Amino acid sequence: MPWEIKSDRPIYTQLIEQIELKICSGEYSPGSKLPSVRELAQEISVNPNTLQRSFAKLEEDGLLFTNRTSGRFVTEDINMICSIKSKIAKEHVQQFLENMKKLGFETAEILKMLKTMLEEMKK
Amino acid sequence: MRQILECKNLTKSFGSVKALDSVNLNIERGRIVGLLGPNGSGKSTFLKICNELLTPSSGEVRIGGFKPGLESKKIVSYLPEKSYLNDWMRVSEIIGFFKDFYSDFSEKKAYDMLKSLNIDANCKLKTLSKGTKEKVQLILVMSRRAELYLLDEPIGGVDPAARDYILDTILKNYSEDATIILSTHLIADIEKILDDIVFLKNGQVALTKSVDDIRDEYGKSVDALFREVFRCYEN
Amino acid sequence: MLRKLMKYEFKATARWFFPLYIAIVLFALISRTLISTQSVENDIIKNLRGILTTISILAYVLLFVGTMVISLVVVVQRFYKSLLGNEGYLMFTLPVKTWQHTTSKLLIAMLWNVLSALIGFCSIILFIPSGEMSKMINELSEIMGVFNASFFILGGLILLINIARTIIEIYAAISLGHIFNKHRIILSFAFYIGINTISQVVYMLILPFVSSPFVKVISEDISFGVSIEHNSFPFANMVPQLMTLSVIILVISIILSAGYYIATNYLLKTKLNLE
Repeated sequence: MPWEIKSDRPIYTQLIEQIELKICSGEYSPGSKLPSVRELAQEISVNPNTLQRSFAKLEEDGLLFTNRTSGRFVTEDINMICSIKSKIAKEHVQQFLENMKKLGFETAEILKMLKTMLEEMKK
Repeated sequence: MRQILECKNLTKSFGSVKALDSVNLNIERGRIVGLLGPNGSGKSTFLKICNELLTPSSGEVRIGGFKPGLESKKIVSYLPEKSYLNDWMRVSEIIGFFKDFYSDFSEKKAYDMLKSLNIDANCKLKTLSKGTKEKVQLILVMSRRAELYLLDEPIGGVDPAARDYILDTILKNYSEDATIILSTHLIADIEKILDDIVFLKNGQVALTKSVDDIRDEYGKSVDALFREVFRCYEN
Repeated sequence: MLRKLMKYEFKATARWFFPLYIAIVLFALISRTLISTQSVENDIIKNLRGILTTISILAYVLLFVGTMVISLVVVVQRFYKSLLGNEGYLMFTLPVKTWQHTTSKLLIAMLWNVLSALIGFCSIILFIPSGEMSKMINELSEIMGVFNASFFILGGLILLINIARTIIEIYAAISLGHIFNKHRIILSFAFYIGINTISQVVYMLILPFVSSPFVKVISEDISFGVSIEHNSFPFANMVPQLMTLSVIILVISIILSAGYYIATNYLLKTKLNLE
């Protein structure tokens, strides 16, 4: 999953979101070691301090932990990862439902559309 | 000392024109700072004063506690807008020159960068294209382990691929003890790598904020904000 | 740091002078050979030899003059272009004091001046056939024997200081022209004429004093500059006066040079404004 930093939102927030995504999707698997701030900042082309702050926040939240000597790792706590995953999913669904409501869709219509589109995706 | 650069009421006049007007700045170590503003806003003037290439009309600048002079030049690495390479040396000789005068210069780093850009160290400087000369200058500047890097329009006349390389090099050389100040009017390309920005307008500091704070508060990129702030002032 | 600057200054300028020096010596030798190896020949070869000799001597003279011109051009270029042009961005950001820049360029410029004079002198000597040489050397040493060491030392010092002074006058003029934003070159020329005039005026003002009674009394009392065995030599009694005059000239030259040197450094440090 390539990094996508948009220009109108704080980079710090976007980095947190995208790292969370990568952890939830398994791209950064539980217990795996993260690249150093420097390396990753270079890869994404962002300011290292900003990335460092994102890492710090994620550590605070418990998704990452630092081992003094060996570096930064993704947590092995699968439950936590799952709960973050759910949280993000809920946020997406919330946003989706709000948008659909704005368009004027009712619950039944929303469910019908979801079902149809999901079936089409399977093909 | 946390501050690497302190600027108090710095003013520089050229005749009746005030290029810098009571500029106050405090920049910490370990930051990547963008000095932004339209042409003629005082960016180059400010950087020149930091390098003792101009003397202030009033006020002062201190770098690492030193006024611009012998001691500050040891810890400042400056990339001017112009090409300052002479026409009689080869690339290898200018590297030797830097090594001779700067104790923090890393020959190995310079040669590594030359190699990765496919620049032949045996070439005479005068045979290099403009773009290659700019790259050589960047290499010389970034091969020093300075405490303050001052880059004047480093991505100005450069093609996009080279631009990426330059930004990459800046990130690669980032260190917590060093600060990089780069001046430019091409904001969109460099926003993401900046910690803070300083907007200069008619020689005065219009705004100093971190990139994320701007995005947060104004809901737009620094580039977009810049276009708004300076629209009225474009000729 | 000064030595390093001088090293690079030397490298930057040597590529102009060494080829010239070699060429001068070469053409002097060629000319001398062509002139001196004349023997009985037929007309065709005589004409050919004549043409070649003329060309060779012409080349030599051109090179000689050329060296003097190049010396001047290099002095100006190394200051104007290398210090106040784009290269100034490199030079003035080096961790080096301003006076070290001026001094390194001054010393190397003086070196080339002296070397050029020596090579020029040696090349002229090459024209003199060896028979004449020993005669000339004898005559010279007789004349030189009149003077004692202090005369030559003083003469040497005056020569050096004046080489330095002419160079620093150029530096000061260029530095003054640099203060302005437009017409820098024309202004530098004007300033140079002004500065040179000032120097000449200073010398002219001081000289009359040398023949004042006060000074005369001092110089006659001492065998200044004359070697003891020779103070009965015909013009020996004029030498002390000459020496005193020379000392005064030396002092004036030093003061003028110092003044221009200080001014140049001050201007470079406070009035620098690279484009």
